[in-house]
Amino acid sequence: MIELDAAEVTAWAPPPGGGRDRVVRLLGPVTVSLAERRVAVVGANGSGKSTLARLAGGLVRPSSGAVRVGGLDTAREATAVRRHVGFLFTDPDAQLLMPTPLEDVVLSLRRTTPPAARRAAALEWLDRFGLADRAHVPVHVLSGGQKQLLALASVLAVEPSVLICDEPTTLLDLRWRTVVDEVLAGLPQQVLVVTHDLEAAARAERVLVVDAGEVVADGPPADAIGTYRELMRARAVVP
Amino acid sequence: MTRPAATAGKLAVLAAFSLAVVLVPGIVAGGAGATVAVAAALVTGVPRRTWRDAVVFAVLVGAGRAWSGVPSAGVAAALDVLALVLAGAVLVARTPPDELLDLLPARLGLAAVLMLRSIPALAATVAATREAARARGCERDPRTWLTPAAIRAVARAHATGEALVARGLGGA
Repeated sequence: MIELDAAEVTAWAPPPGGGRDRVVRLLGPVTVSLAERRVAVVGANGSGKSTLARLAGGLVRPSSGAVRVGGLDTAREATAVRRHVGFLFTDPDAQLLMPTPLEDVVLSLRRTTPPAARRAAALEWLDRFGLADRAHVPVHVLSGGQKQLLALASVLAVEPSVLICDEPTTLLDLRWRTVVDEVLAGLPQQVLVVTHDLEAAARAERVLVVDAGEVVADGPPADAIGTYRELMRARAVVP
Repeated sequence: MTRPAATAGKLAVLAAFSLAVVLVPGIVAGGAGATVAVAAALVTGVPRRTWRDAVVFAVLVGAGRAWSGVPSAGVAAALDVLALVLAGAVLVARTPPDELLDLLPARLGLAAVLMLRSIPALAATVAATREAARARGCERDPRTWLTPAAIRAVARAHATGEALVARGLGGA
């Protein structure tokens, strides 16, 4: 369960016309309780949907209001929240920290698994994602899809109860997009996905539409995606 | 010898070698250090990409030093950097990062491993930025790619920090 209670994110930034920095609102206030197993967040570039995902995942603290994941406050119980929430980024190159796939999964397992058991457990996770034969190759030689699967394996190795994905398939071709979508669909965890892929969003149980830092639609996929399409059609003015 | 003891031994050798390279100045000492490191790298099979990165990094540091007016200092600096980077690469090639992390204090070990991982990533960032400058016909002016490359490197460092936090390995 992810709960945002009047959560707002602000930042210091220069105003559009230039001049001294001032406080600008990036998101919110947002109040939602997300209990569904599959939730999608859609919105235009720069609308605040990634900020919403980071807020829900505890990577960004609310400037005001509160965010709770599994009843844990992301501002006051950040360490405990980290044990419950996995976060998958758009670009796996930003997420993968170790030179080889095996070592990257081992890095995740340092939090949960005794040293003697880590390598075997990591190999098991790689095997589940079809990457066992790539365990010892340099990460940079993997394809984009393999890297994203590896990032997912590294996140899931600590068995989080909630997974938040920020545009996990944006950089992937159709084949790997299908693979990653199907892996995500089969997970037992609650999954919140930020996406531009409206077909993937349509498979969620609930869709939030974010626009200009606010949740402007929230409900079943057909209704919310319909609202989003109308919103974008009205905005699509060729310069 | 146990694996942690063997890793500690390798670290001690690396530390002693690095100290000698840094503390004994001059082209002859630098050349000796680089020769030892190159030989060790050849024996341990350091990846070709690491060789390239080490040489590029050494040449850049050496050129920067020579630019300040003392060419011999530039050559010595380049040899020192080549020796240090290759010696570090030898340790990494022969030691799983997890063992290094177990041996060093957590934050220090993670910083060391991330630094080593960042070398090819930084090289890729510079290559991508230069390619973008080349596509616009302005790769000869280093200003067109140095500044964007530096900004991208900072952005990558930020993303790495966020990835660490997401894995529960950094500050929240």
